[in-house]
Order: sequence, then C-alpha cells, then structure tokens
Amino acid sequence: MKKTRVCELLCIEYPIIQGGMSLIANAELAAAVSNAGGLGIISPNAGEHDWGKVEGNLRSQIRKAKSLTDKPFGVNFPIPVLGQDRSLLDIAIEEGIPVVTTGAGSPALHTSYLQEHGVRVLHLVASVKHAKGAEKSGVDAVIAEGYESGGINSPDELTTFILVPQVVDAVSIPVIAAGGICDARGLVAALALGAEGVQMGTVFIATQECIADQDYKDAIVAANDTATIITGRGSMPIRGLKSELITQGQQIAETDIAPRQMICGAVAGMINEIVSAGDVVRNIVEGYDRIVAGL
Amino acid sequence: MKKTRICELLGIEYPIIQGGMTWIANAELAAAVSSAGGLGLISPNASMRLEDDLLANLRSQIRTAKRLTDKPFGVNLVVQIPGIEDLIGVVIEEGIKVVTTSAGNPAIYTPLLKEAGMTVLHLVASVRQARSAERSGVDAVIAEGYEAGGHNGLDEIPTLVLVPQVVDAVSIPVVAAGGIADARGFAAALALGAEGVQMGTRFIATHECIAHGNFKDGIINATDTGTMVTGRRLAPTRGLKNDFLAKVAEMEQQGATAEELFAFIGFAPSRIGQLKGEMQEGELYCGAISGMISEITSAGDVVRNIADGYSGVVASLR
Repeated sequence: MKKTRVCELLCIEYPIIQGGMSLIANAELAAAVSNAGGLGIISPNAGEHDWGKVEGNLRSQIRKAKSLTDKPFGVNFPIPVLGQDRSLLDIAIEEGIPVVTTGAGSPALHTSYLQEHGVRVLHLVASVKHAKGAEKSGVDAVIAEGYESGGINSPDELTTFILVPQVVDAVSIPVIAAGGICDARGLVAALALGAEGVQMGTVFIATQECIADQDYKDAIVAANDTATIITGRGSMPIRGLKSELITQGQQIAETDIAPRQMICGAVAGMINEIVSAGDVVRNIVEGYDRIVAGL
Repeated sequence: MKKTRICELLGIEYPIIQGGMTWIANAELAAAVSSAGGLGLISPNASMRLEDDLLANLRSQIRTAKRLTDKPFGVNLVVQIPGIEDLIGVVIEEGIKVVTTSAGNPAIYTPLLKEAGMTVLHLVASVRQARSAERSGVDAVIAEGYEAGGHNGLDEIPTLVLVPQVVDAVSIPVVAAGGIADARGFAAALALGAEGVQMGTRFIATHECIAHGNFKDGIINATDTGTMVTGRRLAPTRGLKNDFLAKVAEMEQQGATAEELFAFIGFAPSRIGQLKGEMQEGELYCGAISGMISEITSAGDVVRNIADGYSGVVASLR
C-alpha cells in the first residue's frame, strides 16, 4: 500500500496506529502491532489500576515491549493525568521512546519539551480549532478523532467523516484519522478524505494480545450496529456498550474500583472475531490495494 | 468515473443523488442535477405555503421539472404523512419513474409503487431497517448517517460505520448519505462499499435551490461546529445552531415531554427558516458537513466538480 508522511515520520511500514487505551493498551499488544509494521502504543497504566504505581508500571511495560520487538512503539499520555508533572514523560525519554500521543489538554504544555528530547508528538484533536492550536504548538501530526470513537469524546460530536477533511484543509502537518475504522474499507475511506494514516482502538481490544478481560472482548465481538451509546452529554460524553456496567479489567486486578462503562467504539458491530493484533494490521494492508482497485 | 449498479438502476451517468429536502427540493434544483448527469429529487411541498394544496403543488413541480430536463428525476415521499396515497397517485399519473421513501414501513407502499413500474429507494439508518427494506422489495437503500441534516435515525449511527455494515447485510445497492459534499466524501463512500451518494446540504447552497439567501449564507458561513442535534425525545434532528434550537435544547434540559416539544417545534418553523430566511426564529435543517461548504455554485457544478475530482482522489490512493 501507499506510503504516507506518517510512515516517514514514525519510521513504520504502514500508517496504522494502535490507540493507547487506558488500562488495556499493554506491552504485548503494542509490540505485536509494531512487529506487523504498524505503530503500537502503550498506556502508562496498562494492567495497573493503582495510579500510585504508574511510574514503575510504565517502565516495566516499556521494557517488556522492548523485549518483544525491535520496531518503534510509543506511549499515550492524556494531558490531564500529567498536569505540569513531567516525571512520566522523563521515564519515556530515558527509555528512548521515539513517539508519544497526547490529548485532552493543551498541546502547548509539553510538546517542545518532548521534541527537545527527540520525541515525536502526535496530538489528539476533535475540531478544526483544536487542530490549528496543536499545529501552532508545533506537534508533528494531529490525530483527528471523530464521534465514532470509544471512550471520552468531545462535546462537539463531530464525526470522522466530516472532521477529517476539514482538519486536512486547516493544517499542513499530517492528519491521522481515528474513530469508526477497523478494516481496509475504513482505511481507504480515511485516506480518500485526506488522512495519511489511521488510529484504531476497539478492533485492537478484540485481539489475543490485548490484556482486556475476555468478557469484554466477547461483548465487542457480539455487538451489532446499534450496540454503543453516548452517555454523559453535558458533562463528559463517553461512548461505550449499552447497559453494561462492568470494570474494564476485572480479571487483571480484583480491586474495588468503581464500576465503569465498557468503553467501545461505534465500529464494534463490524468486529466479528478475536484475532492476533498482527493479523488486524496484515488484513488491512492486504485489503487496501483490492479496494483501491475497485474504485 | 466508475459506473455502479445505481447508474444502471436509475439510468443516470453519475451515481449522485440530490436529496428531496422538505420545502426546498424544487423543480429547478432537481432538473439542474439531472441535467448534469445525477438524479434530482423533488419534495412534494417544495416552495409552497402552509395553506396551499400539496397535491397541486407536487403536480406543478413535476411539470416544471419535465419542461427543464429530459433526464430522469424522482420524488421523495415521506410515507407516514397523512394523504400519502393521494401523493402516490399524482406521482403515478405524472409518470415519475423513481421515488425515494422514508420515515415509515417500506412494506406498506413498496408493492404499490413497484406495480406502477417505479424504482424505489428507501432511506434507512440501521442494519435492521436495511434488511427489512430489502425484504419489502425495494431496489436500493439509502444508508443515511447521523451527519445528515433534518430528521435522523434514533440510533445515531454515523455514515462511516453505517455504510459498510449495511453493505455487508444486504445484496441490493447501497447509497451513502450524511456528511458528503465533495469528491473526497464521494470516493470515501465508494471505498466503504456504497454504489452512490445522496447529498442534501451541498445542494441547498446552489443558485437553483429555492431556499432563502439567508439560509444559503448561513450554510457557507458555518464552521465545523455549526450544527447540533436536538429533539431526541421525538426524532433526533440536525440543524444550524440558532436561537430556535437553543430554545429546543433548553426545553429538553428542563424535561419537556415529547408532546410539549412537538407543540413548540411543529412544521412552520422549518418553513420560515428555510424559505423565508428567518435565521433565529426558524428551524434550519442542515447537515454536519456545512463547515466544508464555502461557496454558492450552480447545482450542475456540484455534480461536475465531484465527477471531475473523483479520479484525482483515487489516483492519490495508489
């Protein structure tokens, strides 16, 4: 398939990024995606509900991933969990992480610091205004994430289909499309809209390598087109599976954290089996040329 | 540009359909789209006053369009409105060959329309509705996502995830709608497996559309965050943000019932907004794509720009 600026920027073969999902974007998943030619991303709290232990957890996740792949992989840092504190970023820098994704806060806060230490920064945006702001802050690329995506959403509720081309028109740095993508059709559509890569979350939950609970994976595989819902409109909109209140990682740690919604993207209805994360990447790559040839 | 089953089915050059928007899908607009190689659609109430005769209006709109084009065009029928049988009668008498149907059970009128020799495209917003439409014998489905202006499906499924799931669920052709305004959106829709697109908002901002100039200007001035969805207790409806929708949202927040909302919204505000240009008092049905629409062009140019741009978009994917 086509090489884009995102491939060059991240030194990867295919412009396919695995989202750094809170609690469940673990080293084994990220390494498998990177080994297949995409970019895996680790979440600092993968497999660890106790935020007090996040520093040690991040370091051990990074080292674990390094032991599993010699390809580049990244770490996701939601800005609200960092605040002004750079100790987690310093761990990523010390461990030689080449790329981080940031989101849910001002990209002006840490972008130059990371870049001064040789780290590429991809920032998550959900509107044209935020994309322009991120470009001004000097980020290397933006991830334009639509309303289809699982988890916390922007109150603007712009869908991927309309968000991506408008962000592409507004900035000159590369744009990565996220939200509602899980197969080769979605990747081709995203590139037709002007994106130079995709980030996918939900489809990577339903993989053998992901640390998510088996019930959670099964629920994604069983979901249909109407299975997800937005809750929390007016405060913090979150997309997840309807009427399921369970802990995301019951099996990982039998802690007493508050029950939370089973986070899941609107694309769940298209995910019908649990495969290896490498196969997710390979299936998309194989399908790409066939779909473009059909246009 | 690639020919799809939709081109064959409708006898058109490009699989580009202009939505039959209430109040504003007029004969001149439909004829211009059809003359450019797409499929224009007329709304039975296009340009009329509330007190006018709907049947006479539809007949006159159809006859005007016939004078303006010798290409096929169609009529959009909202099948749950009172008097639908009479509207179908006019459509049959006037020899219309294509109808789009929406907002109702396709099993009720599809057999009648098919018997009259018409091609029927039914609007769906979920996989279940698409399967049911196929069973009812419609020729194609229009899978309309949450991006669309006006009334939306209850499930709020966006185009990017709705279209491929509908394509996988039915064997009849699928037309993508909601969020499309240019060659990029058209190519993306075809990548998802659609065999054509339907666009509404893009065709409002054209010279031929009878919508008020204020409304057209409102669309071209809109940004990416210019629309919102309200009315979730009735039917989720997308429009340009204004005082009217702010009031609806406020009523909803205060717990207004469906009856109270219906009494406030009714039908008149959408007419005065779209035909009379009452930008704050009126209801302005508008798709989420409006932020990408930046000029008023001819409807024919909308079709031609997409047809011309398509091969460039596809070439960039190789």
